[in-house]
Amino acid sequence: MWRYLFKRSIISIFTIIGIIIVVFFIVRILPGDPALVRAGPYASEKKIKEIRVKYGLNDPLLDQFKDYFIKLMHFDLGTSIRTGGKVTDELMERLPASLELAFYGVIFSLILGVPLGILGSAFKDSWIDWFVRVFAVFGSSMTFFWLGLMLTFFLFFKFQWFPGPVGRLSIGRLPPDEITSFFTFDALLQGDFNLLIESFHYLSLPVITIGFVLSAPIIKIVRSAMIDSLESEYVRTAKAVSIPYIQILFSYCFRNALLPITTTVGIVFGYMLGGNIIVELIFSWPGIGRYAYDAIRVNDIEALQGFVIIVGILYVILNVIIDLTYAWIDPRIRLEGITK
Amino acid sequence: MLYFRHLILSIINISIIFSLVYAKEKPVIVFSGADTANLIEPHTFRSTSAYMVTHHVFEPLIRQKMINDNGLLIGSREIHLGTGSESYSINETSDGGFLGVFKIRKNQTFADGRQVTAKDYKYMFDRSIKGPGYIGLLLPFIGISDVNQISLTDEMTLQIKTNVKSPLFERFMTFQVFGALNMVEAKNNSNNEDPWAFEYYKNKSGGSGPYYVSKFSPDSEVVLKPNPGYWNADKIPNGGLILKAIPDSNERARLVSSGLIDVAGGIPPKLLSKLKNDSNVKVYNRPSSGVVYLAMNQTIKVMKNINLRRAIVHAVPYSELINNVMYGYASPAGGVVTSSMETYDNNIGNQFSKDLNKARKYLKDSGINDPKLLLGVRESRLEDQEAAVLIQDSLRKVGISIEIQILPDGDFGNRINKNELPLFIHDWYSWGEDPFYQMMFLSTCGQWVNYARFCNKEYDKLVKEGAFTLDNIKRNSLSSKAQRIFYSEAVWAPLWSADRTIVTNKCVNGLSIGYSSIADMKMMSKKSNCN
Repeated sequence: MWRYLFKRSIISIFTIIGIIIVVFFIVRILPGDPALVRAGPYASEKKIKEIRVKYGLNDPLLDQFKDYFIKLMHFDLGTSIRTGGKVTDELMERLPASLELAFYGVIFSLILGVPLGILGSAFKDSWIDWFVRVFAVFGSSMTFFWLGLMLTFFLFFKFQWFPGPVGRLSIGRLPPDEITSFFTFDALLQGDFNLLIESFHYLSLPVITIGFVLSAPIIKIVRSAMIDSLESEYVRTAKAVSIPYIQILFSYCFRNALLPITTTVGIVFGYMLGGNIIVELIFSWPGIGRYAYDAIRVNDIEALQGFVIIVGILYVILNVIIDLTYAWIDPRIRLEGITK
Repeated sequence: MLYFRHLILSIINISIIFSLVYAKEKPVIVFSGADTANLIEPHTFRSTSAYMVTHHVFEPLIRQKMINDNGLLIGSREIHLGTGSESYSINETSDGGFLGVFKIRKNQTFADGRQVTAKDYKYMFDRSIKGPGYIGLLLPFIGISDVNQISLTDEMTLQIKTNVKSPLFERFMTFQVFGALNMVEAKNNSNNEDPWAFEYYKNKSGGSGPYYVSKFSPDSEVVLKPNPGYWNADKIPNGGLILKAIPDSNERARLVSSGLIDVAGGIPPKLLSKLKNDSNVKVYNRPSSGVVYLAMNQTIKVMKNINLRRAIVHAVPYSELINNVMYGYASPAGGVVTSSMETYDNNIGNQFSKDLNKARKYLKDSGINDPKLLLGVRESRLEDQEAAVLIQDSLRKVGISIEIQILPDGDFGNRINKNELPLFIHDWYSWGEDPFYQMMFLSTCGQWVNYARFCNKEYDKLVKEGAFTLDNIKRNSLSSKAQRIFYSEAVWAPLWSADRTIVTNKCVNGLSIGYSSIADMKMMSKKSNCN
């Protein structure tokens, strides 16, 4: 197992270096002049030139890359040309908000998707299966922005059952002391149950929006993986020896269906890691998705490349975790790693 | 006697407890726009919301007198009152300039408790002129280019000497960017690389205004708390401001209607027309002197043809744009001097009108067959994009083909600076609302923001003369002549002057708007048990 982990880590380091190189050069191909953004419309050409010099925008590309790479080794992602702040600090301030939203969004999509997928497979071709399939099609064809807007319109504005889309907490409410930067975890760790409830309250609508849309691929994959298992020979044998159906379903089929499910969850979580820009915009969620959106809009190249690199690194880490989970679920994988 | 003393003390104690329990805390006013502030350094170019933050943090020497206009307080162009200064005088000097003498208030401190002095005001002017910000570019317009023109006669008296008589001098003194900055704090946080502490003030406030920044999360939330040392602190009816970013305008509208936020800015005109019928909100709109214009870059070969430019000017559907894009929340701009500005000439402004026959005639005279032009608009401005489609349709009717390019704001700025767009939609608003200041920046030779790259020596002469003339009759005459040249040279098609619009919940009052067009919320109050 350790050898397998070591091998995956080495590959990951090279992947991250690849990401850094590609991102650095692609971001510089984008049209627009970041110095102009910083200087503003009143600025003279002289002023713009000064900014270019200050931010090293006139230096040869390879020199810029060398400087950037050295800074990166010190966890310095550069300076945002729009805010003048350190990109590392700004991303780290926003990342927990996006991760917390992604975490609960994926959990909710699993709570919704896994049981429905199992139900669909267990009652294949019945009205229950039909309902599950329609639900999955409905979820796949739903867009985040439409669902988000509808949910806020009805559940907040019309019926006032949920709080308004003003971010992670009510306006003016102080966040909990920082431990994990997940408000729900921190509130729990500090025993502030009112804050815990409020955090969940404000998470609810964006989480429902994300969870509903993301549950569709999970339902489809769980259903088809379970059907494959249910139609396999070992299940037929299990049925023949009168093993209870519930036990067959969960102990045999579900365990075997876990590999494709893990892959899908990994893809879905990876997709959410970048922060869902649309959901963050609708719910005024102060995450990295919105940060990236603003960076793209005004050509803030260091902020943009910082965002892509952080997301890339998280994605690589996530893939390592998924691979390890595979190896844990299916011993053949880790044995394969060792024998090779 | 002892009992009596005890009785008195008990009564005092009870009354203190009673007042603490029953004294109502002042309400906090919540403003929401599409973003909050990106940075709050007062002399750096920044987002509109950032200017709103600094507007509430810095106290200028004087402010406009506010006049109630159906519930909205509007700044007077004629009457100014001492604010940072308790009294002031402005007199003409024998060498053709002005001498402004400002007696600084004694009863005002910064949020850290330090007394505000004339040195703090001088420091801000010096910083404008010598520092790396852009504000120094504005000062020559009122005849200030050297730090020696600003001096102290004593610790509490500031003297400003100009070398020209600009009618804008008094108005400039109301600008937030010339409010006092805590000089001691700034010097303590400066170094050789950053002698004016620009880095330090990126996210910290150093002003002596009604509020100080207590929390600053760029693009998310800014919390302003009352400055206890503000000279007029006891008259401020609220307990602070929160500026919250709600990027989606539909959500902002719902939140202000539900009372979760008190003031909403940046609501698109289409949504405003719907909100007008919502009894939970008040929609304020007043004419502004800002302008949205279709510029024609004269450095690009095809646009050098004056008849083509004239054809475009007369093919633009001005009324349709105001009715169908701005939903009536705008008025005809009428030129570089807009219709609500002093010296505006109605006879010239009215000539910017749609007349397709005239446009066809000009196009024929241009000798250009089937011109195909690129029209650039910014991604962040939906109204400009809608206008571009209507303009495209109207120009097609006279035989001019337009390709619309929606560009990211950064790219748009880059391309108009490099003269790569023959046609583009841009906007402008002048603090101080002076016609000559506006003409000077937008349309005189060599100005960086003269994106149409129009250059006419006679026009420049008129503008320069008008900018430093106090005689109103002469100013009117000079302005009219300049406006006539601007029209006949077909520099722009001035599309509209957007109203200043702002939406408040029905339960709040006291919003004011001055020269800067920024919503001033310091006098805002909230009715209790209202929603």
